[in-house]
Amino acid sequence: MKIIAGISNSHKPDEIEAYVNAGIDEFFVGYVPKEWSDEYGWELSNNRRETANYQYRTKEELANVVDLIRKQDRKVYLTVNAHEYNTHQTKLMLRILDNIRDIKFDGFIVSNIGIMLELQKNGFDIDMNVSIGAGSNNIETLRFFHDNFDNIGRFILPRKLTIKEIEYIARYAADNKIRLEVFGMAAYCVFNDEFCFTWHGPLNKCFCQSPMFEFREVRPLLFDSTWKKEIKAGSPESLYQRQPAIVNEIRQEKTAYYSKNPKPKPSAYELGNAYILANLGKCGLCTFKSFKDWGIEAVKLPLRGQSFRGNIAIVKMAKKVIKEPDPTPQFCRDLMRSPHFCSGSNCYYDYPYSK
Amino acid sequence: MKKQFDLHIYISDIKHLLNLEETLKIVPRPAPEIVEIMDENLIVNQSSLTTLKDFMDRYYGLQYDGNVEGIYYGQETCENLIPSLKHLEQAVEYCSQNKYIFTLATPYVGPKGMERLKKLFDYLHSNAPDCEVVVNDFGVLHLLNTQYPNIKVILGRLLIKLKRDPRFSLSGFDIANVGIKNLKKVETNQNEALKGTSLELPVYQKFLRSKGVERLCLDTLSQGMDQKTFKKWGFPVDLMWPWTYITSSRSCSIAAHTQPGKEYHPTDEPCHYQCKKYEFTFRSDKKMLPSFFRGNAVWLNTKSLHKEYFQLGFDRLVYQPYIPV
Repeated sequence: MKIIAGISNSHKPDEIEAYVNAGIDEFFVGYVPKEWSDEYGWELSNNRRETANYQYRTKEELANVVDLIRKQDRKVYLTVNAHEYNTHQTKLMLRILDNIRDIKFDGFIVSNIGIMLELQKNGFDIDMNVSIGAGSNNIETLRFFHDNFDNIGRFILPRKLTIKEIEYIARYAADNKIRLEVFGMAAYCVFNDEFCFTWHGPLNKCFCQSPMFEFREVRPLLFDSTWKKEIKAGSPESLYQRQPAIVNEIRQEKTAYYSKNPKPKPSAYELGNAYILANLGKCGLCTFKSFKDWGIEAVKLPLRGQSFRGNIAIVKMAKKVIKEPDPTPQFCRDLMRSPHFCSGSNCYYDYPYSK
Repeated sequence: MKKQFDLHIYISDIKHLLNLEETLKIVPRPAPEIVEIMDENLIVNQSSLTTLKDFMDRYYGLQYDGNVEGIYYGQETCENLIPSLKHLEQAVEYCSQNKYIFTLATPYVGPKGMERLKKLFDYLHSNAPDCEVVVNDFGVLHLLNTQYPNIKVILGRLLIKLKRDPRFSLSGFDIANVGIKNLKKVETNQNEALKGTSLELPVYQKFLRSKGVERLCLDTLSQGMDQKTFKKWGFPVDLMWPWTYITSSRSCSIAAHTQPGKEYHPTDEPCHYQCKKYEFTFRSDKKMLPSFFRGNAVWLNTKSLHKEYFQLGFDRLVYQPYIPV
């Protein structure tokens, strides 16, 4: 199983070799030249990353990094995976891609069917890897794309599938020679990327990281479908009585759990290596063996914009787990050396499969 | 004035459908102490019904309750809320008796959800050949194309991925100026692009037609929409109002909220329907349209945008008396 990771102009060119040595097999990059940013700024990115330092900005930079990757005998993909492109954006995108035709990518990462059809029509016949932005949550979606496009590379499964669901899809894919990629570590989001239409980016912040979302409040729903009759009857006392009961139920369960299950204190190693955990977000290391067994081709580590030192540590851990013949959950925990980190809420797949 | 749109009602709860008269009833305003504990979903039910009633009366001289053409029944964001076969049968029977066009709304689904939908499609295929299905998953579209070709397809609102965000529903967003000379031009282009989709592309329209898509569902979006734009899409458009979809997840935060130690609840695990018990509400110092986290999705109340939208020339108004959860 290969490791694929994103890089951008925030990574120095000489870091490519270090990434390869740490274990990255394939790279993906975004390209937002001035032609695009002069028209649409950064908020409406052509690849759903609304930050300048997650991209390459000039053809020269892009050609240079692709060349460095090629010299390391590694593959490189270009992200063209915005949710939507209007007519003008589509034409602009095709023009941008036409201008870099001489840079040899192994494929595009795409999610919008309109742009996929246009790429096909305009003779871009390299592989199209189906991004999580397309929402391949089931086998029928794999069939849909395979039946309608000639050059599908592989499918990147959405992060919100459970391990059991991934297994089900992967076994079908293996029988039908369909190639899959999954997420396994690092950034996780509350919402399904393919159906999240909110704003992202540093200036406007992600909706899910905004104070508005963070400080959401729970409100009991006191009325059922007969509410119109109920309010006509007009007995607010009984309705008021329902409210604290539900709120207390919620509070008591959470409080009781955390008083019984305090999180372990950070170890000395953990305190000294906080940068790794800061980059990690969530961890699914102990699922890698299953992914390998099911024939999944690649695991994605979304590392763009993170510190180089932390990224290298994560890639090395991932590679060790992939190489190990039988990486038990304990093997993974020992690598992480952080009982504080390896808990339910930091688990990429919520509950490890081994349970 | 000639009626501009057909009125369809979108309902996710079978009880609300089988008591449609009650669902669409405007009741006298309750006492303030009751209003205080009513959730926004109920308040919007009453205020949107009043808006709809006034609009139809003023412009068409019609009452809404005698002029409903069809029913959208089902759910678009959570496969655990896909109706049971029994409820589907009841809904189809109800619509048949009342001569309503029947449309089943379907969510995006994982493998188990797909199996549930197959059972419903089997029933519709045999018992409601003229029905329509709203698809929000290209896998579901493929299933219909290959196994149930007689069922009419509507492209769902989750497959028209125009940006929307409660925070910028009334207040503007910031534009980063990194390496950008002409911010004014960028702002103009962004405003234009926020209304644009790949549906403008003839190649995509042709593709959708080849897949049996006959109509499109569009949310009422705060960035506005003009007739010129959606006429370019080449399909009849169904306007969803007054609840606009924002975002959702197969890892449900609502279901996880009462589960000790859990941050998310995967859709694939048994669900105890906490979404029927409580919701999350949001507060912000920004001026914005109200939004709610109900079920596994965030919804925006766009009731107030009816003036901008109702006379744009949509084919259907798909009125949601309640958040479809």
